[in-house]
Amino acid sequence: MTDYSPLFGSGIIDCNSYIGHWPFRRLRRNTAAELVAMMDQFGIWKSCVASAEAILYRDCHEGNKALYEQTREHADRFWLYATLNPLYAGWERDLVQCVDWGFRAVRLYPAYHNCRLDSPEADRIVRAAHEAGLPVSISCRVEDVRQRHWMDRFDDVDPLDVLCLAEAHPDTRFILLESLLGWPHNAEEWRRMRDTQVYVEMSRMTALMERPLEIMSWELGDDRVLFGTGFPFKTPSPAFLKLQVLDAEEDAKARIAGENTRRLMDPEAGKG
Amino acid sequence: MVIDCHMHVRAGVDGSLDEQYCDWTIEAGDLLGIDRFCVSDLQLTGELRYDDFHAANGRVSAAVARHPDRYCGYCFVNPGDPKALDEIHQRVREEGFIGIKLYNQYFIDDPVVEPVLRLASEWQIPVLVHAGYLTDAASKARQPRTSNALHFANAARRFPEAMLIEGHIGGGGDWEWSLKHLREAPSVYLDTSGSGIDEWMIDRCVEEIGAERLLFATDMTMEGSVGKILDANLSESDRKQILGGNFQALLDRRVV
Repeated sequence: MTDYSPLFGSGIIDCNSYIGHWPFRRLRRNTAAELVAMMDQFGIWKSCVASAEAILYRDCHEGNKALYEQTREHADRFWLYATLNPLYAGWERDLVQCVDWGFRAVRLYPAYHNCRLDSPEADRIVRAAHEAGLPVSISCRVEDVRQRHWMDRFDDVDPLDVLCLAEAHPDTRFILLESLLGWPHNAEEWRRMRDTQVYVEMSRMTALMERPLEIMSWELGDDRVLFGTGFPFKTPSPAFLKLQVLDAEEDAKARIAGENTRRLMDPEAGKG
Repeated sequence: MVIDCHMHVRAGVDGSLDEQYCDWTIEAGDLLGIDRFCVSDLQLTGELRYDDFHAANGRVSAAVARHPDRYCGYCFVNPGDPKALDEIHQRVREEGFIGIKLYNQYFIDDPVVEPVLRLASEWQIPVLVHAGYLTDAASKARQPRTSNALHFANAARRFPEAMLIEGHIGGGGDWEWSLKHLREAPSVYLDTSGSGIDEWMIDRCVEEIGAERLLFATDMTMEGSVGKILDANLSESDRKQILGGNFQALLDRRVV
């Protein structure tokens, strides 16, 4: 294990991590204390963390409550995602409670919650998140479709659907997690992306060979790309290696490594 | 020495070797510390006739000629083609290709593949096979003859001297299922490549089948494939063996 803070600075923020259980595969190092230990090994300052179990709970706010309780001891190391189901009873009150508890962003799983992103329900929850001052994060997938349990048969989220949602909410900041490596497909989609406030997490993109991560940084701007590992579903070193070999200036890497996420998640950032 | 035992070259627009892609691979190797790439070129669509795989292997020859210290070649064939063995003879015997690459034209335990496995056993050359236990209907429909660990176990029983390599444990598919069946096929090796970088995947591989049967590879997923080896809880000796020692030992067994 390598401490990457000498390379990318002391402000590395992982915008894509979880604690908790996943019903289809044993996750290891999935407690708050174990996540902090991993962060210390790699030199990560903060992790933006969601509840893995909240995804499939009928009432996913129970997952948020558990996440809040389990991370309190290390509260200075975490920024929390509030997993909400736009079709479930009482999410409005759950959002208020998460805001009170200091959660930093909303997390949606449109496929697992059977809620299309072009639905009125999705529109309502995005508006509510924006009014609460929170970005909205959407993960394209939890696991690779080719290895899923037979009961886990939900389609990956199409990033184009996220783009359309972001176009309908131009003032809202979106975080696209686990985005496809070959997307956007063409100049028109790049232009549309630039006109939104979609930020893209980089854990599925390579910086080598055809260099989709580098292209993403050029086309969208390195202020819109976010460092993320996907831990503990995924192992952390690949994300660090991607950032390490990315052909970019040091300050661009620092932005991707943490500054961009800090600007999104920390209301105090940039206030001097 | 770090050896990537499962990598590819590809055709450019005119059908000849895509030299840029070939050079990108070397650049990636330089950045990530990979010394050698064992490559094949896959014609993935169509009927895969002799002319197709012969041309694909020609591109591999061109890549080896371009970077002789960094590339070595697998001979890719459709085992159902009557000229498959001729192609293997030409590429392995005359051009020094190091092994055979099979894709998903047939399951590895299909009788059609037996002449290829017999030759590979006789020559003691590795046979790298596209593989996975795919669980979703779309992937299964696209690749109905993708070999899984049970097919490997069957083939290994019939050809105990064959050096079979189940490709890309991280290449999609339920890798936990694969590991459990590979326990029962002790002569089958497993390559670590694929875009799947699940936490603990490599540790579980070592627990189930032992470090001595694991072979480092990327299959084009560079940082992920290196990163998952870095993160695995391995002794330095095991890490070294996985990164190249085990595969070199296979290459040293060749009698052709």
